[in-house]
Amino acid sequence: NSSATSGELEVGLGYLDSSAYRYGQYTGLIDEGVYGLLDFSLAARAAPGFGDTGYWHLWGQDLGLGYRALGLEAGQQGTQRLRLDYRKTPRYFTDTAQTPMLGAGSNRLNLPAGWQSNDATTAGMSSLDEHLSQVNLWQERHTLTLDYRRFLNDNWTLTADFRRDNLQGVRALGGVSGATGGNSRALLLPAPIDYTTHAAELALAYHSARYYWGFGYYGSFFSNEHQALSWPTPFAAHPQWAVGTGYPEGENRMALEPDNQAHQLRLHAGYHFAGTTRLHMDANLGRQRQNADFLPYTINSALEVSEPLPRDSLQARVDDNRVNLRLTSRPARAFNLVARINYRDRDNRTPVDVYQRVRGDAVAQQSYLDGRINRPYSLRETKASTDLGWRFSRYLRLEAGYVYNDTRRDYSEVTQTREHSIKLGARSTRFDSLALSGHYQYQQRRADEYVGNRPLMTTHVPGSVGAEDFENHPLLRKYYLTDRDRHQWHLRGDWFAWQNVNLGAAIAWHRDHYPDTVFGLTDSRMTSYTLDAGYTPVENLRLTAFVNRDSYHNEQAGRSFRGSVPADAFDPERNWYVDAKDRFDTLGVSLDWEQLQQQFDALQNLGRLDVRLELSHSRATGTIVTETASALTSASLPELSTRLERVSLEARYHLSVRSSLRLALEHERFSSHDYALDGVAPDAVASVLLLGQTSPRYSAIWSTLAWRYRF
Amino acid sequence: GSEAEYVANDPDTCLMCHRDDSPLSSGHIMHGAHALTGNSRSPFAPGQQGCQSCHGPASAHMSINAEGVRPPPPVMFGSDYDPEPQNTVCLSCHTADKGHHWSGSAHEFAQLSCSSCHTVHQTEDSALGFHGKTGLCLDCHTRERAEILHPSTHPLRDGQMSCIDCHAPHGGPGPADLIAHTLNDQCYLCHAEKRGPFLWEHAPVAEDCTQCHKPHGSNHRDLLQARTPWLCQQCHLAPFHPSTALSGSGLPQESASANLLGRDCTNCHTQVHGSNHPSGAGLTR
Repeated sequence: NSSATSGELEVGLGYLDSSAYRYGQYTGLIDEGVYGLLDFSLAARAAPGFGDTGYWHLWGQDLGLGYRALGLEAGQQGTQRLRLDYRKTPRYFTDTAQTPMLGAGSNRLNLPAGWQSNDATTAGMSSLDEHLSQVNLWQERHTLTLDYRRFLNDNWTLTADFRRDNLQGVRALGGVSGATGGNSRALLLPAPIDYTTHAAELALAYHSARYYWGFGYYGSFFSNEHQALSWPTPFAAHPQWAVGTGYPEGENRMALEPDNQAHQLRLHAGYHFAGTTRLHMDANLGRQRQNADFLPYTINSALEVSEPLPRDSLQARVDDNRVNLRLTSRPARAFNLVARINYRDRDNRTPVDVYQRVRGDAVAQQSYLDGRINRPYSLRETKASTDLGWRFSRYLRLEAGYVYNDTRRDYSEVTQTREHSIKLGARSTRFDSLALSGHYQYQQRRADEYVGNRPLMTTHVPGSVGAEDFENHPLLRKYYLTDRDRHQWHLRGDWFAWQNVNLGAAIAWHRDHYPDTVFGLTDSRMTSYTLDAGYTPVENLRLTAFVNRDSYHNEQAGRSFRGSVPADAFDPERNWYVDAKDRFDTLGVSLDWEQLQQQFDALQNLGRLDVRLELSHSRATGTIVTETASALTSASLPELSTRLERVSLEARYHLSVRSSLRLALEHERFSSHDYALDGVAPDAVASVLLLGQTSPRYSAIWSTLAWRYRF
Repeated sequence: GSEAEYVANDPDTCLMCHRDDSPLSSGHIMHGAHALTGNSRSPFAPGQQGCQSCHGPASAHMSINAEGVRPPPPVMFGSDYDPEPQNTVCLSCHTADKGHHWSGSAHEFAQLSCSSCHTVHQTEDSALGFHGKTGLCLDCHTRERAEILHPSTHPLRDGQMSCIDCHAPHGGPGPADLIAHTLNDQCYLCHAEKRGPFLWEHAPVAEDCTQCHKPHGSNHRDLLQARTPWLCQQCHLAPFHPSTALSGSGLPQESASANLLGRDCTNCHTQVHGSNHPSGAGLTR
């Protein structure tokens, strides 16, 4: 036969013993009950020696579940290939949220009939309890990709890729009415998600032994089914709001993500010099556009809007151009050299105008002098780096590297930052049974003068703010803009103690220190410890285990100040300090044992039995300690914690060479505690109507029995 | 090598010893993609040298040397051997589709060989296709193996996503060998709604998603680098509520602070990735 066809089909049933929304967050196994299971794989390929090159492979995975995947690959080896892939990936966030809003998931939300709001607080919502109903927060992503590649001849290749991504669901989105932090009133809305992105790439490439080049076009087109979300104000009017903006007349509308496009012309080329030296270049000429129609300043007809919008749509345009150059060489057999230059220019050419806002659909339109100017951020980044590997001896390899990074921004507190980074490393295999490696990196970032009120000045109409005015405290340094000293250590050792045992250990230590920062993130540290073990006493038995502890520690500082009390900003007794630690302990054990029956006399008469056992444990804790100077007070916060434990056992009994039965049991326990959710009723906060959701906790057993047939 | 150094009757001669029941069995390659004779570049196509197309001329391997051992063929594959000759063999055919970014990639610089991940002697190379790739990567990337068990992650743990959805193991144009040219472009492949450009941009968003997010796993919702509102306060320290010292005194039994409970800052400043509403300068619309 000139072709060989093969395949397998697995059908079965699964049972989930209890409903657990988070357990099935990515699989769709959220409700107690029975689920059908179907996996299949069909393939045909030209048999060796018959001169044909055609093949195809069709497969499906988890077709009975919320997550599912289908794929097809077909082609002629060396000539062309087509891949078609579909995935549906759900994400279930919570089923414990409650809201009085009707129309969850649509772009118009309404209050129920009989809604009562006696004042501008949640306490005044006297009919809240009777109107609360459950709303699930979820999303489903449908992704379809098609990749086609054709080798036109030995040198030319044509590729055509297409991707369609659709995301639908309901998410929590804050909706606020009001103009300032003092009079704002908000609620968490069950907002719609209905995004579709189409992307396509067409490219032609030439390849020869000495050089190659190619060019192509990539386009990505995002569209949002809902360009806006509107809802009635559930609070009675705040005294500082305009007449007609509170319940029952008040209306609100926010803009959801606008349709946008991104286009790129792509060029790559490479040249193989004599010996081992190669030069590679990637260049992208990109443009992003967004020109969705603007919503009006406000939806509230009760508010007077005398000044029109400066334009009907943004006509946003960002030119995003990049060039990457990479030179690689082995000037001597023991040397390995990589040198790179990366250049990126994000030139935001969006028109700049003054927008006289109607803040929070609740107060009169701003005057011209109170208007805000949009800031189209641009960025130019130039990076040069080199890495050198030197095999000092058969057993020792030394590595070194240097990176220089120059970043220039506009509308920002800092116009230019420069980073220098050195890397040193060594890998040793001096002993046959022991491999060691160590790497150290030091990175120093230095920023030009930090002008903390530059964003304030550039977003206000000239003359409306003074040169010494500030919004953020003058001593604040944003962590991504300011001076930083970064140290990173990585050490790893692997010991192949015996022929069938390997042990490994790794330590990583990172520290970011911000020497110029008084307020903001001042210090950040991470340590990571990992131990690995593997045991393979016989070919068909493998036992692996790992244990890991990661710790993150952030220190930051601030000063609480009121705009109405100018002295606050200079009063150190109003300082506060936060010490935040996250710690993760994870452990995993897995055992793969094929043909287990051979090891036990009592099972010798059975058919083949393969067993897989997996155990994982993950515990995460977060502690946040706030300390304050004498003018302020603070109290302790409960620890954040998450605990996940999973044990799974899978046994496959081979009824014959072709058919087998699989029995799998998986028990997962999850618990979490979050002070921002647990015990926080929807009306717990006077100014925000929350969803009242709780941290997820569950224990679920998922059992499956399936029959597989291979042919 | 010269024609004289090649052994005739390849692969039959080779498979006399490397048969299925031998410790170095190699016969399964004859049922895999490399055995298709219709592809002129296949090792077993007419005019090619069969096993010796990759392993090199094997005449010396057919005899016992003066030390009484059988010398291996010129090119051997696996972690015990120099990766460069191995990779040169593979790239002699696979440069056009996989090799442009290999030279200088993280895996190449770390001296990995193609055979570190691929098993070409099997009927099916377990490294190909979508399934199972996460485990293959995590055997070495042990910190990421732990991070995908953190409370907030991408769906990597059970295989709905795979490492290769974002990273190119043969080298990519972006940082960390991402498939896209920049980190943000990589994120926009699935999260194009955050691309904008928006009327009111949030400066770090357009610059680098990882200013606020940790893609492999986090202790905080939405893969955030740190707990909000303190993450926000690392950059926003303005009068009144943005600079307030937040602690347990904001819990429900005390002041029930809107800046601490529910979604804290994003209870109101909900459009943190940018707003296109003319009144949305504060990212509340």
